[in-house]
Amino acid sequence: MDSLKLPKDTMLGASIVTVTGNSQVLVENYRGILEYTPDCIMLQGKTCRIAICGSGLCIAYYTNEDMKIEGVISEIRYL
Amino acid sequence: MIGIIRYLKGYVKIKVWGYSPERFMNLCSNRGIVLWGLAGYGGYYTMYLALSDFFAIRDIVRKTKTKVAVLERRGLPFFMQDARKRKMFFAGIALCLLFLLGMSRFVWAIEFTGNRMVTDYELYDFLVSKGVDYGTKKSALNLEELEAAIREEFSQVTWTSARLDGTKVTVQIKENDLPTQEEREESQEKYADGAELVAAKAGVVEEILTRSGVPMVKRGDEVEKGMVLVSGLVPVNNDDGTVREWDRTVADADILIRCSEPVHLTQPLAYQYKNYTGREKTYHFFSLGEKRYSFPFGACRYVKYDEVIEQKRFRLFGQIDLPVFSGTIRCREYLPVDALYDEESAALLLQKRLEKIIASLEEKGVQIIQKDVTIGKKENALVMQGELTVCEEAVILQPVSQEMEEATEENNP
Repeated sequence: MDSLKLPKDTMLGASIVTVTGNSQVLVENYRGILEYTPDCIMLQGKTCRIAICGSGLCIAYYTNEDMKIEGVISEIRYL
Repeated sequence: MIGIIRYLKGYVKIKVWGYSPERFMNLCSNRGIVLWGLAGYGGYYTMYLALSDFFAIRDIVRKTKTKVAVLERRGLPFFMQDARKRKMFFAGIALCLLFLLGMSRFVWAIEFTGNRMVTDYELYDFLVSKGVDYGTKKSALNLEELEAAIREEFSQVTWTSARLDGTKVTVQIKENDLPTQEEREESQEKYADGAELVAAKAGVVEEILTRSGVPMVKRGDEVEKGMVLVSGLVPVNNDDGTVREWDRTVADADILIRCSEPVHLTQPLAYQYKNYTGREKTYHFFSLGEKRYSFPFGACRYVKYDEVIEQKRFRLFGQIDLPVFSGTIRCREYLPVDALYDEESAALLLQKRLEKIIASLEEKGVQIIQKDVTIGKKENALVMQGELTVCEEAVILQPVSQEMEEATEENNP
């Protein structure tokens, strides 16, 4: 896999989580939202679940490919 | 950019609640329905979606057993819907814009700068005669021609620039401080037979410095008014000392004459002053052209009053001067009161008037050497009498006088 130099996210279907400071998270390659409250957003990825917790969380935008979450983020957990 | 597109297409803010709002969101994204601005409030969610997508979520709502309520409608489609109900309002805006567009094709302000000798009125009248006035079409203006015409009409104008800023015509002018060609020609013609300097006042010559001509007096000489100080006839001598001929020249010299300036000032002791009663009435007005409308209606009913007018000109975009003024008129009632000055304050007033006279003399380049004034009382007034000893260039240039001609003829048979 490494020798082919193919991007891992397309091959494994892994989610890409880009965190900017503690105020913004950009999630790509996910399947859907499982739970959405101002304190915790649970996302279903292809291989695992991602829980983004904090306070005042809000989804700035939401498309089939990616979503942007804004708020004060305190932890990101993979379940 | 995205915001503009969303606005043009129209979007709604919806509230989603019920059995499984998360599934609702997942299904939306699966079907390519873009959601943004999602916010969770525990029991329900709010989010934005495009107006076209709003009609596509019906079956998702049914499938996920959620309920949807529209909270806000935004964007152009909704605005247009509103606009249909307020036709007159938008027609008014359109008319206003049209009016502005139409009116901006005319000249609404004319300004002159740099003119000192030529008054604004003269210039304005000239512009009117050239067809440039308030309300003239901008397309009818030919500024270059106008510049040339101004230079031609006013000989003292050496440089002009006419500019159009918005609806304002600015005419800039530079005037010639030196005598004009015509004036120079005139003086040359007038003084072709020579010119002499004569005393304008009687006094004592304090200083004389001759540049051309023959000085007839020297420092310390007493002169009478009208006496020739510098002659314009210059003798050309023969070898034996006799005069062969007379050269005619225009006399030029710096001459200071010490003379006395009489002072006679009277200050009546009785005077009237305005005792303001403190009653005031303020009117608001606006004037359109020559007409003035003031509120409240009716003239001021005070017997005697001062009017203080403050007015402001309306300006559109800080550029277009409109012939519309607004402001306030304050009528201040007063009662005329007769009073008497005491001698001390009357003397002080006289002193101040004298100082003013001295200042205005000094402004003209007159040196004050001495002042001898006395203040005396005369009936109901205080009188200041005396004279100022001043040093000034009291000379007049005039063509060579007949007497001088005759005098020279005697010497030159």
